[in-house]
Amino acid sequence: MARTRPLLPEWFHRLGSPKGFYQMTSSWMPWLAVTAAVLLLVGTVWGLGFAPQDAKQGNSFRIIYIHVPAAFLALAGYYVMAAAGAIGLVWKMKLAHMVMKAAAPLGAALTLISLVTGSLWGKPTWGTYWVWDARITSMLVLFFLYLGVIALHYAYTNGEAASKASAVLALVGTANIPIIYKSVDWWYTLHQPATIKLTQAPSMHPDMFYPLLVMIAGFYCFYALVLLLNTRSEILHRERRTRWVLDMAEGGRS
Amino acid sequence: MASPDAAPPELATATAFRAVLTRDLTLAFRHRGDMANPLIFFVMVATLVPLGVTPESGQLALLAPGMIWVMALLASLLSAETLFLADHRDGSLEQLALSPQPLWLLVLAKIIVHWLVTGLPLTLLSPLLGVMLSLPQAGFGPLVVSLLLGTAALSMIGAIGAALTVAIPRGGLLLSLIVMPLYMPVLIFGASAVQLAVDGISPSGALAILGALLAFSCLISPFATAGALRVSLHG
Amino acid sequence: MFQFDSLSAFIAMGGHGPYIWLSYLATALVLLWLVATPLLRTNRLMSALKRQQTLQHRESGKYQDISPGPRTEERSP
Repeated sequence: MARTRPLLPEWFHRLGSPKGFYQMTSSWMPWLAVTAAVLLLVGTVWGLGFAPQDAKQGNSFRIIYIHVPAAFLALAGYYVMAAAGAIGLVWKMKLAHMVMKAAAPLGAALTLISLVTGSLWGKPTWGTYWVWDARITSMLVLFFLYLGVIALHYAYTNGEAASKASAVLALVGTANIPIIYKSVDWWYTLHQPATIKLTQAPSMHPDMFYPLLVMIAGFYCFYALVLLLNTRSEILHRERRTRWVLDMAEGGRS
Repeated sequence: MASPDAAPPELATATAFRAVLTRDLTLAFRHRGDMANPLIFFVMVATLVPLGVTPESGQLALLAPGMIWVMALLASLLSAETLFLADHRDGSLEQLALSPQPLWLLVLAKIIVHWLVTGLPLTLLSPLLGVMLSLPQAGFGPLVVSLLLGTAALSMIGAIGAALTVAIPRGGLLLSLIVMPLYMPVLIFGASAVQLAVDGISPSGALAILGALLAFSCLISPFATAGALRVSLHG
Repeated sequence: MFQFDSLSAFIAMGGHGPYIWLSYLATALVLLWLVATPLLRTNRLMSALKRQQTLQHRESGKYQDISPGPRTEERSP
């Protein structure tokens, strides 16, 4: 019998199996953790102590080293979540649903960090904790989108249905994000007060920019780390009756 | 299993569409008292603004475009739940999902009726609110047009949320939560259209975008809603 | 090079200190919580499974002892 070439390579299917994924990623974890820790530490120390202060904003601009990476990851994380959901819906892959479930609270936490640090940045710089400009308002709506996905997932009692429903919602929200951003931007310029654009990023001297790059890289690694930690934890939980998990538990794995 | 005398499939689909349309309209008419609730809410909420903020005509005029739109949005949110709830309770939603006709088409029929019964009356009532809240003369036309387009878009968008939450006990609040971020662009352009007109600027740009939002939601919603219904019903 | 003249200047951050330190502290706490949650969850699961396995082995061990085997006790003559 002639052997037909499979549509998808072997490693894709192994990747799709929770056990395969777990075993494959086990070796990655320490590296990811160390890299994230080092990058975040170096970036923080550099940004707090060694980057020159901004001419207009003084030292408060140092908050940018958290605010911008968190905001990037919050937005990118939504697309990760939605993509995982789409893969789970189309290919009916349990692993993809698990990744999506892990990505939701992670993204929401990062959005919250972005909002809080943005608010704390605003007070000393522009005198107010909150302002309804395009970027901040879009971040707030992104937060609501995350909360909606989490709440919907939580409300369903059947785990499979929960995954599918929140995947549908995440996808619908994906279409919404650029629309919301454009709408809020348009709306804000319509009502724009006579003062200068408030959240204009300060013009960046390279000495200020490099620590930001380090922090962004650090946050990306951190995101991957936490996403994998949560996905792996979910895998163990769902497969807790299987032989390989029970053996691992007995083996005294911490 | 079509007999030689059976109608061709395309005709069957059109018949099914019309059947759902007629059925829903009939049911709505039989319970036409229920239609009044969102409308009463709409008018009552309009009273809250003068009571809570200010009765002064000039200041109300400043707030009116946005406030009327916000109230229309809230009234739409309230009525979004009713789209599938009754049918889910008596099992006819399940039957609808089992029928050979494409679910998205039947869903479209339901959404159209839902809008005719909730969004359209809201739109027709809005000039009354304009009067109550001292909306300047120039705003009335754009108010009606923007609400016409906007409430239709809101019905489309709300349907997705209604489908996702229909099987959840007390899903109404969750529905509001998940649907509100999706409502926001419609609110922005709808309220802006009225505000622009009041300020003497042409609202056609905002209205055009509103129309585009409606078109986009018509494209996405029936399919997303059908998919969401299948998840809700069968898990 | 280091931008501040002294440690106290570093903490004061030209008057913006509270906002900066609060931001960094809050973020650090959230990031730590994000990492700790799955680790604790996995630990709890593994310990529970280990306990469950130990109990099961002990149970099956009991039954094995009942089957007759070589006498281990010496009878006094």
